[in-house]
Amino acid sequence: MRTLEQHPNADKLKVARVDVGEKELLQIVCGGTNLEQGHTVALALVGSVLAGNLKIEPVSIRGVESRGMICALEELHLGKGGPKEIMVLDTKAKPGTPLADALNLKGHSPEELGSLLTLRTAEVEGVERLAGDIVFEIDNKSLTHRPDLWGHYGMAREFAAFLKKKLKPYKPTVSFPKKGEQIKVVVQDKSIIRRSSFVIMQGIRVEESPQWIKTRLQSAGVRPVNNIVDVTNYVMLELGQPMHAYDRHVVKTDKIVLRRAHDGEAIKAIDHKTYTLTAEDSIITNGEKPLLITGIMGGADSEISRKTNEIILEAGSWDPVRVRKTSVRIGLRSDSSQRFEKSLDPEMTGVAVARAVEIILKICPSARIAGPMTDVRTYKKLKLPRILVDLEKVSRMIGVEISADRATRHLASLGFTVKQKGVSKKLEVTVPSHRATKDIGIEADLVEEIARMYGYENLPSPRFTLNFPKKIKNAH
Amino acid sequence: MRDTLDQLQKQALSEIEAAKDKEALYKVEVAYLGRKGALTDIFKQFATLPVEEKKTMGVLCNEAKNTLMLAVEKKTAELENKDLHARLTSEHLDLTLPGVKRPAGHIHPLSQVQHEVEEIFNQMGFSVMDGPEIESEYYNFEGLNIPEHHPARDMQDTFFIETGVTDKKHGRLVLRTHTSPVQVRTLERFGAPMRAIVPGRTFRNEATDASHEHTFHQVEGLMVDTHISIADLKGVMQTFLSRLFGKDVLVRFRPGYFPFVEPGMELDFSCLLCDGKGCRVCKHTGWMEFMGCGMVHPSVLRAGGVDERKYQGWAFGLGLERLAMMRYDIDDIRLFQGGDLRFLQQF
Repeated sequence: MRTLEQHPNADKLKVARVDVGEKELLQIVCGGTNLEQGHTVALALVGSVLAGNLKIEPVSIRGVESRGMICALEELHLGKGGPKEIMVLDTKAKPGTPLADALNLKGHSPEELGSLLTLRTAEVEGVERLAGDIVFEIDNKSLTHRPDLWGHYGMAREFAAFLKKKLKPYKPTVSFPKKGEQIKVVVQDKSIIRRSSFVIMQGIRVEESPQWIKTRLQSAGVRPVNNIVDVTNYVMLELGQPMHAYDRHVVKTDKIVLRRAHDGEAIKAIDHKTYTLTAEDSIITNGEKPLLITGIMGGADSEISRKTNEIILEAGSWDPVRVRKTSVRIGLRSDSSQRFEKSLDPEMTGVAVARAVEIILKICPSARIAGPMTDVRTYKKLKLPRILVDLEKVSRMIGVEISADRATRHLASLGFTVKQKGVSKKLEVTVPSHRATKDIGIEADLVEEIARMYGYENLPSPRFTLNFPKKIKNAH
Repeated sequence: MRDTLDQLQKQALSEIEAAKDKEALYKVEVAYLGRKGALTDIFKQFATLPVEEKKTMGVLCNEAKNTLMLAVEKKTAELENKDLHARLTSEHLDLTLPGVKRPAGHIHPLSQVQHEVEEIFNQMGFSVMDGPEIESEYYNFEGLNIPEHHPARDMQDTFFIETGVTDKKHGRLVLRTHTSPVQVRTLERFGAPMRAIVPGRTFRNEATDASHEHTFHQVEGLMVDTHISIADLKGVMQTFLSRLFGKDVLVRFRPGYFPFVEPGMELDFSCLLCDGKGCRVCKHTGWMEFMGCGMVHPSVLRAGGVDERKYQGWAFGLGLERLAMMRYDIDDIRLFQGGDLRFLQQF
């Protein structure tokens, strides 16, 4: 904005002369309250169309010609600015630079993102705009082999990989006290559990969740209940790790026992139906009564109520086959069982509890952490598969030459650790925990990762001749 | 005796003459000339006659016999003539009348499409193979990398055949839920390299509606050699579909999951109606969902006895009904098995 003068006929308007990288400056009438000479601003030129089908045309405002519109953040759908303030850019970009380039918004429309996701990852069946968010509707069936995609963070990892963006680490900032009240866990049967994390919180006030949580849950098709239950669901949707919160006073003890159920042992679940269990099913108990059918649903007795003021937060990782069998046998499928039967990454339980604590502390100011997190695992260190990848084989399978650098880039973008083995055209690939539980185990699995990131649509399609030279023998 | 003979002959002749039809004539013939007939009786009395008389009577008797036989013959001819005449006057046959048309069977629309598919793949060097509709659990599941508690078995509700016997390796018998078992069978039998398609009937235990049938048809495709790639699959399908639909058709892959392929893909082809621009039929995507495919999983190659370090290749399974439905604009899959002639006669 080279010059700025008061509008001759209007107190609240100014007349700016703006440099758009051409010989002549453009005269613009503007009402922003934060205008200053020398500012770099976003200018919608004559001929452009803004959201809401607002067409920018040459106009005369109170007798002064205006050849464009200086925009506010809201007008560009880029965020929220102060009232009546225009957007001021902090950039070294030259006048006349397209805004998308100046802001590095190499843009994809939601629909374009949807079809990219369809081509690279999973089938998008619809793109919806809900409460200011873009909601992708994804076909469940295209995720059956991908436990890591049952939460938004897993999807974000895919987006980051194929858009070549950096994925933000999932690191809740919570510090757990070294001392204090803590859950003690007794594991009576190691085959039912991989890992489980617990923490006690006090000073809880159960009430409605803030709107931002409710909106997001609803956009993802989950009914809001109360702030504590909503946070457990929020973390499940965000990370893909199901969680549960118990009323600590109803549980009565801080000693939790994980075991197989007795034949005929019954539990009334949160859906207020009573389920009769067998010795094939596994449960979380307070030493006496079942509190939760592991991986499927919690009990009605210890559920969070308006009276709850202390809670036990729990995130477990359960044996997928057992969860599936129990869920089929008792005829109860839940958001939780659906995820567990895919074989979840056990490394998520601790970070899930930390994330839930972080949100609860944010939305419930009276809440505090009672003591250290309890973390039980039945393995010392997760065994991560290491796979040797022969690049010649990869190229032969896909049908195009794949260089070591390209393969490394694609795999690393999805979280794999890749070591190039000298000039031998081989890579040593370590599978990250979020892909190690089920879907990646052999070289062919990595061929798929490289192929889909390369882009199936970028493959050549050699024309086949319809004049096969030899006589063909048929069975009939 | 001579008088008796004369009388006998006279009476016989008059009875022959009186016979109204062939049955009556036969009775008269038997009564006089039969083994126990009147004339035969006279021959039997010869024994008692003196030699001279025997001679004369013999001649007379033979004459009488011949006379009667001739009379019978004549009368027979006469009666037959009468019969024929009666039939000729009562029955008319007009050879100039047009014939009655018998309804002729013709090729079922699914078979028509199947034959076209076979022909095009033959032209690309693929043999057409066969496989059993009653399959073992081993070939239908385990051999295809689908172990017992695999969720993929949920997706396919299977018809099991009650035999009371479970084989150690092969399990129970099932109606095959897909044509994929022939991947293992063909590789076992012929090894690599291999180019084959296998059309066949498949079965699922599921409720039927306009797009689901319990009995339907698939075509399995298999191409295995030392160098066969995903790009080759793209090329083969593009060539095949363009030829089948008589226009340039594009194909695209999306990631998809099937336990017996890795990488696994879904294949779509450009909408035939709008050529990929987006219309109601393709739900404004420009693409039609078509089939599952991918690179044959190493454990399937192993199950087929093929060295997975040396050989590689792809497989696909396409729905023949879907192809026919798109081809002829049919909106209900149940029509194919419904046997309604009003439907079938349109093809």
